[in-house]
Amino acid sequence: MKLARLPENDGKLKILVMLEHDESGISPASFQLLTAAKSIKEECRLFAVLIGKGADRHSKTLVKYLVDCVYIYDDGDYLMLDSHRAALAVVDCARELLPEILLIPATDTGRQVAAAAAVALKTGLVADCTGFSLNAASRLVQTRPAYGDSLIAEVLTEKTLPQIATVRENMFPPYAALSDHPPLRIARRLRSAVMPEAKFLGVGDAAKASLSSAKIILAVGAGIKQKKDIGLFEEAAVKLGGMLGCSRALVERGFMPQSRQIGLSGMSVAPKLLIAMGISGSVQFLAGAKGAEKIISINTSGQARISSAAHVPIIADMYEVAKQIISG
Amino acid sequence: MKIAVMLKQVPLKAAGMDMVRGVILRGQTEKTLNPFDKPALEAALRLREESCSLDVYTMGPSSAANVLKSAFELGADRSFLLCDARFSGADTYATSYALAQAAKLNGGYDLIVCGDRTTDGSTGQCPASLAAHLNIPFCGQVVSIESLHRDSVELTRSSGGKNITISLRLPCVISVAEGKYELRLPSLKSKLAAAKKEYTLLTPDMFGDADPSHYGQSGSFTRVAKVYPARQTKQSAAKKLSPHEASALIVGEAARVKGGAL
Repeated sequence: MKLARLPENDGKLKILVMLEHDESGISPASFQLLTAAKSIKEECRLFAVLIGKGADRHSKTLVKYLVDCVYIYDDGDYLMLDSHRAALAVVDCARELLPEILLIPATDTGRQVAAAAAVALKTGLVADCTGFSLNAASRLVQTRPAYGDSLIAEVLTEKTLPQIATVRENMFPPYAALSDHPPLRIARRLRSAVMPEAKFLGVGDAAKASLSSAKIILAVGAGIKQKKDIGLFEEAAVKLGGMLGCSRALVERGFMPQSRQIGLSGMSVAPKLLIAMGISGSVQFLAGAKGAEKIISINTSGQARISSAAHVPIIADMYEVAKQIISG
Repeated sequence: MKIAVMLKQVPLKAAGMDMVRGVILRGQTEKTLNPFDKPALEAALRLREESCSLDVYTMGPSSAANVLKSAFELGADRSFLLCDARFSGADTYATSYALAQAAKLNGGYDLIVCGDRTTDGSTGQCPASLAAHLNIPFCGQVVSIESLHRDSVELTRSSGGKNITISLRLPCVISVAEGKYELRLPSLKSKLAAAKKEYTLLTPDMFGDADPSHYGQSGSFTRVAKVYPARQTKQSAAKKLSPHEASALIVGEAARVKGGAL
């Protein structure tokens, strides 16, 4: 085990980010964490932790991102298997570095690792943060949507460290790579005495195509009158060569599964064309849809908030338009 | 085999805000079982048919007993309501700590099943926190429980576009995602049986850790400092089109996208 010398304590704010990676490299959401960290304080000391198989290989790309030191736990593929055990690596790193702030992507795995790490470190955790600032007492003000996305809450971890937050995807741009940079400092570490509790048995592609990679999305919202009407819009989406998505309202009513939800508490999408039918356009929906190249909205009135966000806001009856698309 | 399910009662509709007075409107809407808990409950009910016992837990105000009643009607054996002023104001750390203490009180479980998240808090943190408090393994986004053995459970997890099948050592906590588990309806027989069942009230003084400062707001590390309405975007003039015109416009744009993709 090779250990880099710990950076001397210069009084600067220390921020540790957990980066996720797969075969193709470090995830885009992870690179956004570097920007999020720098948005808290530009002159912070930035540390990264990479866990699991391939971490060593992928850490090389971090050389261009002004990370003070990368901690690598490359001794198994357990990140996807048992987040409680994966969290132990993050905990080990946090105990070594004693950062004031720990940021983790708000992905399925990330939020579980964060929850387990917060328990082990006996500290606060705030989920799905969309923005950060420091208050007068240098505590982290963590902004997140709350109460059914209609409100924004500012949450503090008041007394303990690190202040842990999971960060919503696509809220921060990816951190710009530098052309001129110092060599990367790397610390390779092993988890201490962890019994393997999960065994890998097999892997396959999930059957459903994902909304996040769809080129054309027809999204429906509260304008849907009853569950059986979903079929009509599903058919229209297929006719257009796209996928059907929805706003939170329909998931809450049980009309559509959460895997089809676009928005802060659902999925962030980036289609070339998004057709929003019967969607009022909450800030949270629009945040999930802001990657869309073109938005056409269909509503019965021009009062819907989405009308100002859409490139082509249209007043029409969504049912009639869907029927026309299918028959046309 | 002992199985537990953790349930939550949530407002049927998202809470609003009184913009004039600047206060959150809570406790005024109808309440229901968290929709994301339904597949968890169904998965556990199916395991119960394979000679397991099934206990259900919920924490909340006295009205939360309604979700326990529903669980009884579907076949749960015992149910527990964590209801006490000392539990209130809990963040996910303190909530999962209380649930962990409750599970320990009943001698622990081989498998604890949760929903992936709730519609109100929507953090998805409690199941993993619960596992950490109990110091047992955790797996989330479970779409299928393949088989339950004496000391392990075989699961399929769906995440990031991949289905991964793993074997997890028992005892453990899992959270179930929507998919194949559609919650059953109660039968007349199970409804009649449920009428005789009563839930057990749990309070902090009954727990192994009876220190009230470890529960509710005082056991929480986070505090909501400020809440304000989400920013509204400005309006713009929308065009009124006939269904035919709107459809032609949409089909044209879609064709452009598909053409560009070739």
